[in-house]
Amino acid sequence: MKDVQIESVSKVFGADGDNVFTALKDVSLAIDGGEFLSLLGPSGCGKSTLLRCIAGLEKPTQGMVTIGGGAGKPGFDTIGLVFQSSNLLPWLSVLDNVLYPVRVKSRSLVRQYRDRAMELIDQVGLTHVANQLPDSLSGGMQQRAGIARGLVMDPDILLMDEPFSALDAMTREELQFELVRLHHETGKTFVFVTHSIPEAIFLSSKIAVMESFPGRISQILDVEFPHPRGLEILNSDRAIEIDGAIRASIYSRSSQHNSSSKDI
Amino acid sequence: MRPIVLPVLSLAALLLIWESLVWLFEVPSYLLPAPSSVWASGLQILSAVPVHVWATLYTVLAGFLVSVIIAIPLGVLISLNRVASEAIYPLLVFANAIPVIAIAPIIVVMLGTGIESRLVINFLVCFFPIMVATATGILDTPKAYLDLSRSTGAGFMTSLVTIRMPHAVPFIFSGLKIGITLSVIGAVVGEFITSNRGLGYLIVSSTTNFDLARAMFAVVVLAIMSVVLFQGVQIIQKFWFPWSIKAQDMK
Repeated sequence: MKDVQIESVSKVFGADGDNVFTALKDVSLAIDGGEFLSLLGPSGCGKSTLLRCIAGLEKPTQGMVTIGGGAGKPGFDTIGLVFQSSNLLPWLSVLDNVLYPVRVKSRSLVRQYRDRAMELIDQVGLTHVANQLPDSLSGGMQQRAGIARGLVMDPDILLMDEPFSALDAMTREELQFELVRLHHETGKTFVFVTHSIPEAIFLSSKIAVMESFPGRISQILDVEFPHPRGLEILNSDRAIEIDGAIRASIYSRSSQHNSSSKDI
Repeated sequence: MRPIVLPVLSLAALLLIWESLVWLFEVPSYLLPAPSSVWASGLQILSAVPVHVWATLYTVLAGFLVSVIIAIPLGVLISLNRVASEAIYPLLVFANAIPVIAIAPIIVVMLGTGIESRLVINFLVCFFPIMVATATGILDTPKAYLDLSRSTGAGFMTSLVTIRMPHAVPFIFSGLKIGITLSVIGAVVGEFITSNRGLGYLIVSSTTNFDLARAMFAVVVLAIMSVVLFQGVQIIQKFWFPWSIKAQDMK
């Protein structure tokens, strides 16, 4: 499985204008192959920007992202992307949405990948709606389809940008279980952006905690719980310890921020 | 049931009032014909009606088709290419600003009294909303859809065909529905200026003879044609792009 090396990446938006915004400042991170890494932090900390840099949707202003040791641009089938709102195309059936990355690669491949797409749709429990339009699906089902689409090219790395943030609490838990199972079964590298601490602890093997203004990584924590995991791990001493460390790092910073702004 | 019964009843009431007023005040039919004489006059020329309907319908559909074939690619072009947009958009706005009834006689002198003049007149009336709707739809494409296509390695053309164009479909249909109705207007204007057939011709020739009943009958047929064509576009959308109906309702 391919690893991801992020070497002193900075991303500045609006470099020429007045509204210069430093989204990421000197971020370095090594993500091992097969790891489930969460990028955790408050909004505005650049976690999504970092994910987009890995996905190749943003070009770092400085530094570089290497995938699988290879310099230069990775092939598009190295990376699968799952979006915040499922981002399914409303004019395509669930099956055709899952096949969309294949269609982009080559129209002639679509037939060949049909069985694989159906298998993935089955894995996320959507076989009965495979031919329906996304519009008729619940939010949870749409996001399952989004995950299946991310996996269709059999990528080495699956990037997810707050995929569960728009879902209700119960659907969210259900999908968390399935995601852990998928990670375990596929052994792929998962990079997961979230602002939920329990979600990060439950899912991850490693958590990179980020801070804002400018966005950077403040802490990297290992989460060693064995698989299969149950939600009860969140009540364990170790989880509480990790939770405390994360909160300390996020809130000490923000209280500093508040007091300094009071001075002004 | 009520949404059908009520308008039918109010229409019947309106016709009844109209009929009785004409009868009561003995209004001469060259000023205001009663609905019954409009109907009677329609029956009188019934055998000639299909020829006129077909002539107008032909202009409407041919003109509409030409407009669609030109307006949609033009809409795509101006939405995607800044230079093209800057170069031709002001001209198109200007072309659309010319009152078609003013330029129609000029076009007839230039192109003659054949179908060509009527097609050009028709095009001038209905290309603009179709083009603008297409451009709006293309530009409205959510950034997340474009991210998706980019993240899967889609190039410009693939992204245009698989993301931008389908996203624009409900917008294009809004333009087409306006366009088909305008196309009827364009066809009638064309027939006013030059033709020896068609519902527009029928109106002009009837009014010259003070035959208002016949002229009104032609107007009613035109209105029905317009509604049927509008519904036709709607049916095409429902049949081939059912998903786009919902997307449009949500907007």
